[in-house]
Amino acid sequence: MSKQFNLRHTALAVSVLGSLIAVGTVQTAAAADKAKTKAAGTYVTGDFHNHTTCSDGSLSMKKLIDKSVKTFGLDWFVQADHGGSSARNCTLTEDPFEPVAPALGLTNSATGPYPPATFPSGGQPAATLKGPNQTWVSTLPNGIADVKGDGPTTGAKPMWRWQEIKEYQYKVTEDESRARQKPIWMGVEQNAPGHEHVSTTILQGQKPWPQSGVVGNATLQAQYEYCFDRSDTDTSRGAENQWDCSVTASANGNALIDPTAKKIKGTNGTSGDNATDRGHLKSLEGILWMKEKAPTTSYYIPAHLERAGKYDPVANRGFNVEHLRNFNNAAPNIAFGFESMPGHQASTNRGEYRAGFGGVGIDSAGVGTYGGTGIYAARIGGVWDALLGEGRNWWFFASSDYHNRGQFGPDQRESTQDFYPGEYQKDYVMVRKGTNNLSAEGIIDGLRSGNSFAASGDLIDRLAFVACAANPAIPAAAFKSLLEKAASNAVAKNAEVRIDGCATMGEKLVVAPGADVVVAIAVRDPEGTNNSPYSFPNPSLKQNNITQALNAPVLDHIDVIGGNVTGFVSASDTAKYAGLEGSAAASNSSAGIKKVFSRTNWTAAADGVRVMSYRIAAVKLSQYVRLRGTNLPAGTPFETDTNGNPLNDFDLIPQDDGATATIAGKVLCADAACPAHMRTINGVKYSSFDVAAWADLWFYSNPIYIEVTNSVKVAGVK
Amino acid sequence: MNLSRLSLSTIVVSALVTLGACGGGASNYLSGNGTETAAASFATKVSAAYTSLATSSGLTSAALADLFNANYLDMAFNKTSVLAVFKANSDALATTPELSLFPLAQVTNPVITFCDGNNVCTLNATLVNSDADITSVDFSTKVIIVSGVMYFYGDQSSTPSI
Repeated sequence: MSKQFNLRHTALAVSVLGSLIAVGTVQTAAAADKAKTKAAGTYVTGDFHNHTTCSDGSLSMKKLIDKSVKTFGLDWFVQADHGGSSARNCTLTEDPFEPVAPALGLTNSATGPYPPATFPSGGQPAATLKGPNQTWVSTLPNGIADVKGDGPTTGAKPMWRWQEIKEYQYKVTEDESRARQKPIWMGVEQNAPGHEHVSTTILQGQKPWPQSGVVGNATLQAQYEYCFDRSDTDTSRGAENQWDCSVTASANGNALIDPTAKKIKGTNGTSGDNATDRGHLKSLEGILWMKEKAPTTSYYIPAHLERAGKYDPVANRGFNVEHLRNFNNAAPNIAFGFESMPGHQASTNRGEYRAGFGGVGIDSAGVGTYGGTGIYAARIGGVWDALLGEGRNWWFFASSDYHNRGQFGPDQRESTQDFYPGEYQKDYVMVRKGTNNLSAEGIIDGLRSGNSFAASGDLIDRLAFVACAANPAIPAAAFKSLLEKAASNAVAKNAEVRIDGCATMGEKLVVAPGADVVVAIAVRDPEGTNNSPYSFPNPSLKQNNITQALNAPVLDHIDVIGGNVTGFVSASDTAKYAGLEGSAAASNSSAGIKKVFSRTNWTAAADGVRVMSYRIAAVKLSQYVRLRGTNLPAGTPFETDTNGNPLNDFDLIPQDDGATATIAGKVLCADAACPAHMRTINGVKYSSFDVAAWADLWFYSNPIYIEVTNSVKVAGVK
Repeated sequence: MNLSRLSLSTIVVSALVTLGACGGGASNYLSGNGTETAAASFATKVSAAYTSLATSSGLTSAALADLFNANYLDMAFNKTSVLAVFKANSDALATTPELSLFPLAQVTNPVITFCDGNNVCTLNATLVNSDADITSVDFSTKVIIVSGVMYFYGDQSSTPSI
């Protein structure tokens, strides 16, 4: 499997909050361009959610960037720590920067000894009083005097993230970007008021490669963090910056602005500055602020949004479907999707989703992930399909959320916690060439467009997915051949199909009632091995008597999933607008698997390319189609049901305490090469941690909309 | 051997030989009574009609309708249903400017490779679009020649095959 390619190619007070975001404010997304107006483009790989010692990560900025864009070859990267404050100086680098020899590699885990003894067991930094775990106070010229804003006057005063970003991190990011000639820029994983986390970027002012010369700044990103991060309780207004967080188009948040801090203080709660739903309101204000300050160069993408469970109006937890609707209504060009394929895929509980995540009785939505994806996207007919069923521009993304490798060091290839950006999950995003070639702006445009897909374990690395109005004047077989070849050609170029009368991901096809639509798909299942260090047989597939190396996965099948579009739901229609996972508001009963492709009905071409098509006959209703695929056949025990739907990973790997595990797993890891860190009960190893993740791979495409002229308008996409 | 790459005359000769060897009666139009002309003319008409599908008038033009034999049937589409789709598109185009076009293409390299006693022939040709990304595929379909004029005849299948 070739690894990378190079570019050159809530019932929340809906009645209150919902009315603040009138449907009338909805704007449509970027146009589904006619082919002739679309510049040629290429899918590029990246990641926008990860951590360093400037929050709760374990690495320096430079090392994380190095791992992401060099070791694992990502084309673009957004460095996005949590908001709040941190005592550690992540701009310092590990010493030594490179691992003790040998370089990245697992030399002999298959034959022992295990674990390899040639790596620093604690990883980097290898030396004390060096590296990014040193404090700001101990490493800045004037010590604590250089650390601004509210806080202690003695000791290792944490630095507010706004200062880290503005004064220290941005410069490192820009330098790294220009030196490596890849778009690398600053974001923030916002501790969202009222919720858990959101991946954000405000690019305005930043000047990553390919820009050169004039030095940019991340002042707006820093200000956003000061103004809207739940954990940033600084009241200094950014010290000399004297920021004011008011929003011109405020829903009503300006009335809540504290006169000293010039920002809304408090969040969801019942005491002090806190109030019911205040956090959610503040989050919406933040989106409006983005819309005002950087309408085309910012995004707001809820992260691992099922993990913290259901929304609580008096606490800061998860996201219900109504919140996603509120976000999208507030600024559809900024809040246009979610990270429903979370990071932490090698964790004890995949994605860290589990029972009791938020405390006793507060489970992650869906409890676990499903094939590594949260239930909001993984359940057909669930939250994602509900949003798509409205015709919203709401896209699917994945992230690595890198913090550390659990019991392993950063230069070891095993993990009991996280994978590096690019190591396991990737977002493949269309970037068009011309005046807006591979650039941060172009990548954000690509993210916003919905012309993207995400995959784990390099299950696929290229995709052309197109829906075209069937031309009945062309013999059906010829038309099918034309579109399949066009898709195949597009995959060969790592590009999309550009034919008038065809729409790809994030776009809509507008057809007359009764028209046939042909869906053509080409994917590349890359040959060779992926980044998995394990070559023993996939333990999940062994249950099916399939012997397939864990690091050489093979795409088993692709599901074409479709559902009807019934239009935007009004916030005043509470029953349809707001509800928990599984409720009517969070469901689309029309969604289902419309077609399954596998080796029996796709055409296998050279270079691992698989080509297929099917015809949707006589469309009468506006609808959408999207894809998912996996390396696991339907009916794989503990992995997929008989329809191919992913099963709950929490059942596969029940909650336990890792090294002191007492609860057996479900899938045996019986091969002699199964590593020692697998969950082991009475001498029996169970597939777990990174092995369980490498065993269970998926990809998800974003949807193509089909709008029927006398049916419901797909309002979220032009 | 890629038949579509051979000259029409070569194919005609080959077809005649093949038909002769089978003992079947060669069709009138493979006997030199204008097959080449009919095929070339048909390809030109098809390409022109395909191009006209971008306009409302083109979608309902007689020239488009005239491409299809009255007994046309291809993957469950008959002439009536094909024209109904075009009419629906024409109607929609009048009210919905953002209506997606049909993918358009040209038909080139037309070659007749076989005709039966009813003048139902196999047409091999190349389909080429003219979009930002050009794709071409060779295809084969049934046509019928009536009074020297070629029409789409379809695969005569009443069930969708794809």
